Amino acid sequence: MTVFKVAADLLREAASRKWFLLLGVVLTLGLVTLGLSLRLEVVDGALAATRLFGKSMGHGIMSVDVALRPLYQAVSYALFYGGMLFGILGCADFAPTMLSPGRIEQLLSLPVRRWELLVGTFLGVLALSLSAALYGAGGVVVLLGVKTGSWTWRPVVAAMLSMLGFSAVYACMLTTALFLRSASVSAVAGGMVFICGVWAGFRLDIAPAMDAGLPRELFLAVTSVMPRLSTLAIAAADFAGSAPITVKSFPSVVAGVATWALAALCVGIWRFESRDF
Amino acid sequence: MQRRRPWTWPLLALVLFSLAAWLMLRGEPEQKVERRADKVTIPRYARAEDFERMEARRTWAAPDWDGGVPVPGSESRVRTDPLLAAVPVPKGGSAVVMEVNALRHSPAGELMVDCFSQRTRGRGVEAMQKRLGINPLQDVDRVAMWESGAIMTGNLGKFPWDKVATSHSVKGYGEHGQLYRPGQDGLVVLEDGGTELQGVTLGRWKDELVFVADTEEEAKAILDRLEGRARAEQSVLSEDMAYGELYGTLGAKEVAEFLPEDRPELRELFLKGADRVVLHMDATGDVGLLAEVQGPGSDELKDVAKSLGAALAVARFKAKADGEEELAELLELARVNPNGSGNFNLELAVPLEMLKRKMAFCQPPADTPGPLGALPPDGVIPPPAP
Repeated sequence: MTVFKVAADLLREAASRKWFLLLGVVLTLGLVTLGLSLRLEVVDGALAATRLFGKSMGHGIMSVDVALRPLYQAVSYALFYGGMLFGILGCADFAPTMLSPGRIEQLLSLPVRRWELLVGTFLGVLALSLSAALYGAGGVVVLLGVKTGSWTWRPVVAAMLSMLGFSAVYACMLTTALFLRSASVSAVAGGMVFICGVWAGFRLDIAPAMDAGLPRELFLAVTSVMPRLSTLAIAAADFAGSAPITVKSFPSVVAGVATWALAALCVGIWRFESRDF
Repeated sequence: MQRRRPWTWPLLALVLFSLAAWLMLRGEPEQKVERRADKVTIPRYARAEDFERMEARRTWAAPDWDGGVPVPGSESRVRTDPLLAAVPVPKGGSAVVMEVNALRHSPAGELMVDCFSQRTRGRGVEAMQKRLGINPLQDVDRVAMWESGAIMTGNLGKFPWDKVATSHSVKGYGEHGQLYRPGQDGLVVLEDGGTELQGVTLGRWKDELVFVADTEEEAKAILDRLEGRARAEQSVLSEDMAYGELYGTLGAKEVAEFLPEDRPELRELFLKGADRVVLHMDATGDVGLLAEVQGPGSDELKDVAKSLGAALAVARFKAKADGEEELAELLELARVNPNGSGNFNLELAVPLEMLKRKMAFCQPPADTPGPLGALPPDGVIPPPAP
């Protein structure tokens, strides 16, 4: 329970920050704009015409769920990558703030174990990421569901996958902050994992373009242990759009990214427990 | 508070990193599979190879005629495709051309040939060659069909005309044409001793074109158009339509027959708004079919497009609900695309994988013997043992 109290404390702190207020406003404005500007004509379950800002979108007449597939996929990609970039910038200073002199001593004086403090912070950030992703995806689902009568829960699950992707990035950011208490260094570490994670998903496509030899082997070696963020993003988008999932080993990738996040968190816990404050 | 051993967390991290790497490397080479929709080519326009094929087909220059005799040296400078010149398609009529040779060498065609071969235990083509004198997989180039006849082109020099002549009366017509009518100029003696006048006429033009028509007049008209004696009105099956592995035009009335019987209002709208449906099929990879519904661009046609799209959507939901996954998959790939001119396209795609699944019945049982050697003298393959 202590872990959840720490997480709740972090959420309270996040609620007081302008960054997250801005995120909420942007998401709400996006949903309202989409709701007001999008006109959909549905005939017996087929999307016959679409108007966005009064302009006709020239697409064929097809089943609503098939027609909305690219839109749900686009929303999933936007939440995955957009949410991750926002999370890297917006959450970079949570851990350095917690570790700041005076604050950490006060926290450690409370009846809370160190690992609970760290895991609570991690879960708090994930809850933040998840609520933003669910708000965005859920909003789009409700909006399009009301307009077309076609309801799907898949984009909401895809939003959870975007949170899973961010968990790997944030675990690394949190651990980095324990080695070097700096918001910018933490953000850079998150950015590095993000970039390497995107590359890792395409590593077998990128590697042949590199000169054979040490650089290619090094690239393959480094990316082999990085979380496959782009693969996860593709799978999440396919899932959101009810399209056949083009990533064959989807469950394995999901489990791999989650395990990677836990591994990075273990390094952080080890560092936190062995450090004197 | 009891502190953990200092190596617990790093060790756990190492194990988890290794596990994560293993999970993510597992099956990595085949992680990405090609998207089905990316592979399907819908034949919306002619490709460069279609234009090349059209050019190569322009082999015939019809002469001018004077008193039933071709004027030497009067051949038109504009060469035409003899098949398209010969096919009679009046406005509102239907005709379809199959590029048999291209189809045969397409992935879908290979599947069908393999299936035929397996079903006939490797001897079907041999049997057909024995009967027809030509190898349908090698010698036939195109087949055109319309309401009252059909034309086949290709390397038809070995067609057994001598055998045909034993039961037909033969007469020459035009410069290169010959007509074969059953019995005595169409008068056939029946088994009961009576007689019947049969109009059906078989024809040949050089060794390039074989045709069959319902009446002798139609057969003569084909040769007249082909050899330039009749400058027929512009056929609705024009050269610019000749792309894809199958193309043609269907009259609105014929297509209306296929619309659901329980939707009479849809039929009515369709007949009001549509003149014809132009078909194109691409089989270079997956099979893509385009049916362009053409009409004067009326509101009726727009309503038909919406109704058809809705009907496809409903059919897909029903197929999914009934557990008919393959039908649902097919309908999922179907599109109704209105175009700017008021017409609309119906696009269908059949993934090759689905065809392979459908052709699974072709695989012979494990205990079926292989090819059985030479055919019997009559060329008829005995039925497989029960």
